[in-house]
Amino acid sequence: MILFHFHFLLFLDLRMDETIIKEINRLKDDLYRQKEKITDIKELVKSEIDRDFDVDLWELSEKELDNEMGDRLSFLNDDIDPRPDAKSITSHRRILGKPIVLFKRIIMKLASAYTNSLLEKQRRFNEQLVAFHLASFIRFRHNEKKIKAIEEKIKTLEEDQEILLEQINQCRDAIHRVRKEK
Amino acid sequence: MKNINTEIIKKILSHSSLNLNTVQLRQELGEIAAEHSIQAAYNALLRIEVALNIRKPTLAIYDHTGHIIGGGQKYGFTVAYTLQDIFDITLIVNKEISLQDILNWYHLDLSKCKIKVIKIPFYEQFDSQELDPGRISRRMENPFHIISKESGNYDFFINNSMNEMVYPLSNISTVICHFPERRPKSYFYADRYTHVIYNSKYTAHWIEKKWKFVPHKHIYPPVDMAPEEKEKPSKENIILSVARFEVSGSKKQLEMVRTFLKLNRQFPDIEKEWKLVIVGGCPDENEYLKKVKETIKKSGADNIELKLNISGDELKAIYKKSTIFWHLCGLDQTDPSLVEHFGMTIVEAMQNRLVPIVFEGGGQQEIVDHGSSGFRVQSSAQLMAFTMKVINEPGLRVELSRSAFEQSKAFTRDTFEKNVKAFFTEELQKYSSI
Repeated sequence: MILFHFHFLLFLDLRMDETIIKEINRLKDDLYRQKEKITDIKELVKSEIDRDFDVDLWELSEKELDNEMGDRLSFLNDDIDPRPDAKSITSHRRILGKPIVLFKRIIMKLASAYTNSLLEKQRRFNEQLVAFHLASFIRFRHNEKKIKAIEEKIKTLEEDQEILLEQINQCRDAIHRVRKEK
Repeated sequence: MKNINTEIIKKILSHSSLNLNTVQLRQELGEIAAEHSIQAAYNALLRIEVALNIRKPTLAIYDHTGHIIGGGQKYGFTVAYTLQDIFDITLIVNKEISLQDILNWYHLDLSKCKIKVIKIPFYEQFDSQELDPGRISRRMENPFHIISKESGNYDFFINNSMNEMVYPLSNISTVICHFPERRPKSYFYADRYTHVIYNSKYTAHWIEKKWKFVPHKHIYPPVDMAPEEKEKPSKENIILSVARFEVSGSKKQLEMVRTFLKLNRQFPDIEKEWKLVIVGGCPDENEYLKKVKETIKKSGADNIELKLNISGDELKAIYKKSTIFWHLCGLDQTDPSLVEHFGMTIVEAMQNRLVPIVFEGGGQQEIVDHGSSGFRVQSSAQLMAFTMKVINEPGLRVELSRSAFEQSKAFTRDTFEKNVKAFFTEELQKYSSI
């Protein structure tokens, strides 16, 4: 279906005059300028580009699990404080937006006397939990180092043992030879 | 970027069959911009330009590690070398390099290409040559969108980085995957590219497993270490290993030293007649390299040589005179990313008629046929056994060396260039013949 146009294009190519090329260049510059003004890729392509992906922890290698633990821990750490921030209250409405935001912030301020004690308790709990996880993570790392060191030691011992066995065999052969000569 | 343009461009060009009406063209592009996006309209115009033969098609190759010497980078630059007569090529990098650097490092003359350095502000704060995508989380802005945006200025965009955080905006986009290091997570866009090219079947297997889709095109990396002269080089009793000294020890030089020491102990002839030469790059002396040095020193063996950061010419000379090649990357490894994804140095050795004895895993299985062009082993004990077999049976050694050399022809730069040219010429034909 496309091939037909190829012949047409060859024909068109001969007919291309400077005006058309100039107009194409003008259009291109124009579009380029419009494109450059847009910094957000989503806006540039007019669609959502990011997605969330499920992670199957059982599939991960040791290195990946390590990274995953670090990532999740920093995520928890960033969200320790559950108390709402006044700045998080916003509105997309142009005219009504400001009074709505102001009203919500006042309500939040009034309610904070009651909610703060509860949320402070939660914050302390979160803090302890993150600290506990971090301690476990560090301990896990220490243990991992110890295991690696032990594995190395075993390898060296195995080598030494092999060398010794080799030397024993050589001694045995030598004794055997001496006995035979006698 | 989703290719929505063919039908629209056909429509625009069908107006032209009567008379290429510039007002209509402007109107049509305006409609595309309104209905789809500004980028889609721009892409449509780029394609029209190529279809009408107004200019040469443009192609950008991005590599965030382009300033560091490596096999993956060589892959990307060889693609540029192959396509520089067909496309107007721009090499996008994040740190300063010159075309002369590329010529010095890889012997590739890219004088028809341009280099565009785009610094990534987020990484400029760190005093490091590496731009680690692992630092980026969804909770922060994607710093690589500066490259995503740049990608939309070309007809074709190739991402040769191990970095899936660049969202492709060009009409035709290709990501070259050397190994899927990360799983789909924040800012993952590898599946948004038109094609995914992979370097080995091992990589393809892990793309399917980690990224959950089947990659499109398999092109083995280019390897060009074959000696220039045609006569067979004279060989010495050298067992050679060529690999970087990774901090993690993933290339297993220590295991090779230990195995060779065992051979020394068990077979006095080896100690007298054979030598192990370990060649490797290591910009700074790391803990692993120290350990290798200590083990050699402690053993007192004088038939183990360590050669660090040697020149290309020196490496060629060592390849030429060596007989057996050892490569154990992947041994005792649980992390698939630390197993050899392909194994360029194995092919280099085979091009120099060495008999490869390599680890049974990763891309190494695609290069060496066990028993025919070398041996694949799963342990140090097997490495010892097969090495002794090759040493003790000269007839077998000659046969394996010949087969290895023949097999290496599948991975030459010529083969690579042919595959790359065929693939991109076909894509360009589809792109320009609307």
